[in-house]
Amino acid sequence: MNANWKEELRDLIPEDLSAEIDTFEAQIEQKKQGQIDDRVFAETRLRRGVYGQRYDNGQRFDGQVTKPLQYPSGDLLKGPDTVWDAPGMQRIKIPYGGLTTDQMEVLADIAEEYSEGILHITTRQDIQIHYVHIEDTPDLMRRLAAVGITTREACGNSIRNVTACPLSGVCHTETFDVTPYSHALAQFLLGHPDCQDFGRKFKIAFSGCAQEACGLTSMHDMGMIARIKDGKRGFETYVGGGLGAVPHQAKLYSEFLPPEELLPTAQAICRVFARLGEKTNRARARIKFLVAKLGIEEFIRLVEEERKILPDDPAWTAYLDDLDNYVEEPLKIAAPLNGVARPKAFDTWAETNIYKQRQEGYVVATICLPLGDITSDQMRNLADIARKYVKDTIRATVEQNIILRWVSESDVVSLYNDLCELELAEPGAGTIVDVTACPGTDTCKLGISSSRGLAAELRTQLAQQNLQLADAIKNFRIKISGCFNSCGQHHVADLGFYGNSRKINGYTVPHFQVVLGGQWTENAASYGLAMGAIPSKNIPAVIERITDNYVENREKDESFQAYIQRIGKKDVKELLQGLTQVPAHEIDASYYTDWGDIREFTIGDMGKGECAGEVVSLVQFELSGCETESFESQIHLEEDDYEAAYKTAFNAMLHAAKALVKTQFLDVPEDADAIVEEFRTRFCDTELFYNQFAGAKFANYLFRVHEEEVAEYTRDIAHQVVEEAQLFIEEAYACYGQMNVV
Amino acid sequence: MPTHKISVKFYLDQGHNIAPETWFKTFNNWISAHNGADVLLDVADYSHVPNGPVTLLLGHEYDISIDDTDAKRGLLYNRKQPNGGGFAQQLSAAVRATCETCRRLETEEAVVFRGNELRLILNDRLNAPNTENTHNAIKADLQVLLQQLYNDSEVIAERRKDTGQRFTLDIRAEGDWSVAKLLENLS
Repeated sequence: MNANWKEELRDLIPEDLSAEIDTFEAQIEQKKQGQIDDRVFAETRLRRGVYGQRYDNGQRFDGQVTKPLQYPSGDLLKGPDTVWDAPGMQRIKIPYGGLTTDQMEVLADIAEEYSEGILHITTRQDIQIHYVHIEDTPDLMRRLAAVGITTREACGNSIRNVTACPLSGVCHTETFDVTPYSHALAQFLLGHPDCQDFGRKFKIAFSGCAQEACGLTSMHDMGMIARIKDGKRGFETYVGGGLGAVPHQAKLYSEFLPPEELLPTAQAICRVFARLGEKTNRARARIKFLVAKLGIEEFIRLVEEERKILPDDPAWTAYLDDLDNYVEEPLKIAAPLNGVARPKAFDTWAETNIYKQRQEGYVVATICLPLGDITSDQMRNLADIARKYVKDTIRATVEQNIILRWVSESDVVSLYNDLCELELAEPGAGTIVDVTACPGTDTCKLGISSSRGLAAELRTQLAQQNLQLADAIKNFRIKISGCFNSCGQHHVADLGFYGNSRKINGYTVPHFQVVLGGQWTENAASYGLAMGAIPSKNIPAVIERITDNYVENREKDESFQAYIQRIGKKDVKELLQGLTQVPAHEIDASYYTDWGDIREFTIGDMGKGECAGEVVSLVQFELSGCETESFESQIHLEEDDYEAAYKTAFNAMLHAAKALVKTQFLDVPEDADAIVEEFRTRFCDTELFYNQFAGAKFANYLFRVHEEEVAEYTRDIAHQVVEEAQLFIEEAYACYGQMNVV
Repeated sequence: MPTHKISVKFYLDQGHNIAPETWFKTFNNWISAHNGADVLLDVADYSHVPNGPVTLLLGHEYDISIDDTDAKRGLLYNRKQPNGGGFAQQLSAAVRATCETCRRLETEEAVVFRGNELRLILNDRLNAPNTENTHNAIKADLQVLLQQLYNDSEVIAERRKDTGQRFTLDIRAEGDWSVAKLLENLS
């Protein structure tokens, strides 16, 4: 029999994380046996970062016709309209983008073995791999867990990756290093019971200062900017920001939130969002709509009320004791770069890719990744390079790059040479060449136009012109999304684009909406203005005209944002005149295909996106988890592990009882005695959990097992409890149905 | 059996300069024309990434890519699903499938593959780690296959020793071998 990762890594994975992954594996098995509803399973896997991908409805457009893909598992689905065998994307959360060399190696390995050997850095410091088969995901997760990475809540209606400025701790303008705070909040909210009943996702970001871009706090559901008040650290806190089709600037929640209030306030905000946020209309379910609807004052009042009644949690302040333990250290001593021969092109690279740290003699080196992609071999070798020059001070950035922090200046030339060997020494980090793009039509079901195709083309064209580009535009940001959902963050770019299409001459033609003058700095302080849709193939010309005009006609030191505001939409339209035209198909067919794709363009292969997740009530979700526990108890029984079977079955009942209690009492304690007592009072004594034929029989299963002291776990005893657990859960579903709260 | 996850790569002798768009078009046409029992899904372009996959034809049972790993362009066949039989059968099937794919490209595009050199990868670090034990475990099956492929020509199989890598053998046979001849030998 072949080895398996579960056994191999048993001692390396934290017990709770291991149990979670085992549960997910059991849920996959249950789904294959038809025991979980499609929607519940979809949300279950999304909360594990297991995401759908283009063509997962089993259809593909080949340029002429849409053809079915005949997968072996036939009609089996892993979500509504999502075919079981269709490969998907695995999103991997990297809190604040922080990576270790061991993690980089495992990421390289899993991309090679379960994907196509490419790792993609996202605009939120996650890492994604594509074309992953769902049955490989538990092992993939175990391998990541063994090096301290969880994919939990990477997708779905949950707290997504908590991002932070990648220069935290080494930045010249920061107030203080936000890293340990972002880490603490990410850990606190991960799997938190108060974050399991959202109508949509919730994104959090930290920034060390107000003036730079890095944290992008203004476009987040919750954003924190480091502040010092009366010599004490804290956070200027914002809430209700977001991009998407309807971008909102975050509203000021508090001018100064002390660190001991950071976690409970976030928890209270999550509670208010879970309770009052929209659940039905997915397009208006983000917290920005709730804040807009209530008004920020009322929202703050509700959160403060909620904060007052939160049960005290030692975790709120426990992390404060560890703050001093968070120290990043260099591998090498600081030394200047003196007299070392500089290879050709080094200075060009260093000009854009090296940032001098606040700490004398150290720099941050940016590894500029084309379209955020890096091969497994490159990632593995980059880990070796990192070990040579720095400790585990590596971060993924929202501009889809990787940075090495704490490089001694004396090592910069040597580092550059090593990066050249890997073809990872591309210059232009943070400049107009460093184009950001979401996956778009390459792999996303919602993609309309090819964001990556356009980004690749622009990178190529702009890199060729780089030396001729005027200084005024060299540091422009170009950001591209495949649709209006803004994963490419086009609203905050100088030159932003999002995909759409137009029907022309009977053909569907790929276009991009041009969005100009967004502000990347000051944490994405303002959003750009939409200027009109232009055929995809004319976008390079748009950039040329706009930037040329800016260089020629800007007033002294006028920023691009100010220039766009000054000339206005009318002048921009005039400037772009002619570029909206699409030649007839027989004259130039290239307009009818998209960048990076030879097929005739279509929007017929779009699907229902999974970024909105599935709305499944908290009780339904938790009862489904109990069914999985019940399923696991049956497996333990089959494997003659009677004690495990008994205990797992009891836990299944206990958790089902807890799920019901939560509908009345959100703060039900964790311990079994309290849950049973609350259940007895609220559901048994009131006869809410009461079968019209069997009376309190099923409730008594729980009470008996809870009180029972088992001297010896025999097959008969275990078998009885396993059967009872199944019946108890069925009754819990019936009870929930009768409560009419679905 | 060590693993069914077997990858095989043959290198290009002619046709290095063919543009990624051409490969994209070819693979897309293959999906359109495909009527086999296996499933071909999509084409992905990674030509912006150096020394990796250039253009990928993704399938359910296997992927095929024009691959630039180690700056040596070739065709990589990557088996993902079991193909029936023991390791010897699966190894033989993977090499045959790679040769067939190379041959198909030779007939459709201006390319020629070198048959005398191939890379064998076991894409499974758990069941086929990059160790001498794994090498010993597959040696007999491999020898039979190589003898069939290259008759009695001298063949050198060199294992890449870096521990972080997958089990990888670089195999080189004496003389000139076309993939057509290899296919003939396998039949």
